[in-house]
Amino acid sequence: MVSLIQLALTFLKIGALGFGGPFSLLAIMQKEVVERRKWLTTEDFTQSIGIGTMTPGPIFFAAAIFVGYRLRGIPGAVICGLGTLLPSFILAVLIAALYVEVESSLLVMGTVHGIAAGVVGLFLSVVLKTGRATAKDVRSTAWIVIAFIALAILKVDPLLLIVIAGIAGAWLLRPMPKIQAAEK
Amino acid sequence: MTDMLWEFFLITLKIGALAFGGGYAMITPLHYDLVTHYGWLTETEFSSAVAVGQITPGPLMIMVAFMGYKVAGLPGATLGTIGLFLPSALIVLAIAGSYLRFKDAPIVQGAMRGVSLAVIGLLAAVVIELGRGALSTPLDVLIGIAAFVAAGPLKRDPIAVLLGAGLIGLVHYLIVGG
Repeated sequence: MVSLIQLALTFLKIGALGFGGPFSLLAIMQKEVVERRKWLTTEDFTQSIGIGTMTPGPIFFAAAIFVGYRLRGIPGAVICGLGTLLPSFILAVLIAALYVEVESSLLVMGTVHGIAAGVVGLFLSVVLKTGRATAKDVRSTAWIVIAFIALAILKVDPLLLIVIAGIAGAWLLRPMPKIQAAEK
Repeated sequence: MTDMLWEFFLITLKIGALAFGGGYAMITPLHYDLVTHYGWLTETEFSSAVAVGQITPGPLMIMVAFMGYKVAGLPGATLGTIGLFLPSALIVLAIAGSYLRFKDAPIVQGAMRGVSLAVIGLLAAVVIELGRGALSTPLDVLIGIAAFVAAGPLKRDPIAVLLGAGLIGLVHYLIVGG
């Protein structure tokens, strides 16, 4: 079982070094939690994003709470949530308290700009990795392609899409225990 | 607790519970309540808060800590952060709890499989959106490609990839001056 200390250290690391918004945070979580430590499968990871999309509030925060709960119940959820927020909370309060001018600094803008460009390539690699691990047959590949077209071309609301995918999946993708038993 | 602090807490709680669509969906309601309606923050303070959310690591919405501090000091920062993030945490826990209880039911398995697959389509669409916003110059495109190669085929750590991309952006601004 994953120890709470390991969980705290991992999510503090993501909270302290995850620059560049929700999708770079998700990319780092995928690396740390799925690839490096193998605490969760790729499917658990995409499920956590699904939950994050369906619920109000920041997607990564919701995904972190879900991951923490899956691994260590309520204490795990609390630790992942706090670990994610604590480093930037301290920084934001310090900046507010010390009256540091932020938005005018050209250096900061250059860095933010570079990171934003990097996130695109980084996240593309995460999508390809998760896609390859999840799309195992024609049917699942078709499912992904339809979702992509609905969002990128038809501009369907992501929340609506996730809900429809859940309902359609409950009907079309549910395992059929009776048929399997008959085959055996 | 002062009335203002209490009211600020209730506003963040409301936005935390009702703003679907990720952190970005929270910016407009926060601006409406804190700048337009109550006038607790100036336009400049609000845009500073957004910039703080962007430059700090972690979730963008930690900007609420900066806003809370400007409204009511450290208690404001603390309560605002709790208010904005707590509803999301409670709703996720409620869903996760019932999911784990029923996860072996075929219907639940099918639903979660459907969600997982749709999420990958969603994330692919996100890459296009991100690219449209962030890749405006040839250098941006180069940084994006380099980040892809580093994180994908070369299996570099995503944190190192992001810091590298930030460093290139920084050096470019130092040389060209934006």
